Amino acid sequence: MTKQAEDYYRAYLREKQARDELEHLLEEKTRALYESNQALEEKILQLQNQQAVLMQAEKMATLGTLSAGVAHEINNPLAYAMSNLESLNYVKPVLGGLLSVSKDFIAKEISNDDFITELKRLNQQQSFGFLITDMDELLDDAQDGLRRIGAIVKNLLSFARPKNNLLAMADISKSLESGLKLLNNQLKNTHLICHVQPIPLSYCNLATLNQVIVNLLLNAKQACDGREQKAEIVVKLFSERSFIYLSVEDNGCGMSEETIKRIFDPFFTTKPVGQGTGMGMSIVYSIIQEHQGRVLIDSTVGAGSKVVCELPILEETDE
Amino acid sequence: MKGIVYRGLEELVIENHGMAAWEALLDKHAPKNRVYISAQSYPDEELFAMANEVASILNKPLVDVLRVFGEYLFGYLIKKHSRILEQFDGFQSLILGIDSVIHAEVAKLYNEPNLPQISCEQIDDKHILLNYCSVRKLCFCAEGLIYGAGAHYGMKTQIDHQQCMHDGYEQCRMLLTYEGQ
Ligand code: HEM
Ligand SMILES: Nc1ncnc2c1ncn2[C@@H]1O[C@H](COP(=O)(O)OP(=O)(O)OP(=O)(O)O)[C@@H](O)[C@H]1O
Ligand SMILES: [Mg+2]
Repeated sequence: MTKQAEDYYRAYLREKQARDELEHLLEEKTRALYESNQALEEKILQLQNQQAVLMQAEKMATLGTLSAGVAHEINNPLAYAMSNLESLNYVKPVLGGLLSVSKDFIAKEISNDDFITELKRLNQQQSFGFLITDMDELLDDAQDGLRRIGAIVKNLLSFARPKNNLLAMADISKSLESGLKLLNNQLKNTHLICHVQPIPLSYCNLATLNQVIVNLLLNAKQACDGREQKAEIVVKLFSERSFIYLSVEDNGCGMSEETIKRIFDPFFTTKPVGQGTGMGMSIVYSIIQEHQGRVLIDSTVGAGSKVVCELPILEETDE
Repeated sequence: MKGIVYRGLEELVIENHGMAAWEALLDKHAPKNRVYISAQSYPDEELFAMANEVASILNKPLVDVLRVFGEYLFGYLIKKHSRILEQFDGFQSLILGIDSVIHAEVAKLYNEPNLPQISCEQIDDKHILLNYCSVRKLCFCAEGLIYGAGAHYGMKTQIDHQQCMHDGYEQCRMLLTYEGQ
């Protein structure tokens, strides 16, 4: 090689080494990137799995509370309906006797005296006076119990599958109107203030939203029951930006932190046994959820509560 | 084809025929100012054209040129990626791991490489049946790489290229016979 060629060659080798080193650097970095990316993907998968497990656990928990609640709720009325019907069983022989002796008497198959003797025997077996007062009560109570079970089942059904076949572009103030009409009687001692502004149509289910309004109004009214000052409920319906807001505010007993935390749990109630099923707010929650909205609670113990439903204005195609 | 393969060729040509020969190849078959970088991909045609040119200059069949290149390339690749080789205890385990270990590692280092599909079946401790499949049909280069691996481990290697993609088969079938150490 000539001196010049040699110089070139050395320059080439130096350049080559520079390339080698840069390539090495690049490859190391690529590899590191690949590995951290791999680790990230694994983490994501892990997180997704964990989330799935959590969601399943939550579902099972809700199902658990739900079944436990249903069982508990149904058990009471069921127990007294059953015990009343059992009591009626005891008076069945006497009633049977009464009916057959009356039938024989009408058919003139037994004499007056025999009739009276038989009646006296039956009266001794089971006092007629007691029967007259007691039977009504037994039947009424049994019926009450069964009605109550019916109500629970009905609530459960609307919780399990709110009828979403009635979605349409509609004016939510229609729901409010009919809800207020429905509760007209129960709210007659309440100072009711309504601020209803014109709102745009939204793709919604007026029937289920009506249920929301009824539940909120009933809760508000019940919160005011038995309190010193006059019950005052403020209902507002308005729209702001892309949302429709429905709020119900009362000056009732208010809620503790604990109650607010559990208000949407199925069967959570602070009301005495026999008064609340604790389904109201969980139904409200699931209906508002179906409308892609949120339920916000603001409450102070002893001062009152405000429940706000925030509903996005939906188009028919937003589904 | 990744730049690292071109760089292997560059080194081979310069070592044996000098810088002028490499410059001439570049002038003729690569775009102006071409610089090959390992991780970058370049059109396969450049490699094929240069291999053909080398074959005609040396007056040798292309197949032989590719084989020689493959053999040299093996040495070049393991020089640049010595870490990959650490995982093997010999020729046999390296051949069995081309697809699942070596090229799997390559896929981590280089973005979207164009790798062949290679599967191996151990017949006995002297024979491996290797299947090669790739749209680039670089089976003779693969032969060279295998010879290179044999040389690296001091093995006597022989390849019986029983079926070839160049004859219309879906994949090449090579019976490797090896002995040594
Ligand atoms: C005996 C062992 C090996 C054989 C038979 C083999 C075979 C091949 C063949 C035939 C190709 C050309 C592409 C094609 O045919 O489609 C290729 C590409 C490649 N191989 Fe291997 N290889 C071996 C070992 C290695 C080793 C040790 C490395 C080191 C890292 C390596 C890295 C690569 C790279 C970077 C490419 C280019 C990929 C691209 O262009 O995108 N190979 N290999
Ligand atoms: N406006 C309110 N003021 C105070 N407490 C409320 C109010 N709304 C709900 N709560 C509390 O949340 C609990 C759950 O309400 P929810 O409507 O789900 O059930 P409920 O009213 O007890 O029974 P149901 O509505 O099924 O008859 C109530 O028991 C009550 O403690
Ligand atoms: Mg309620």
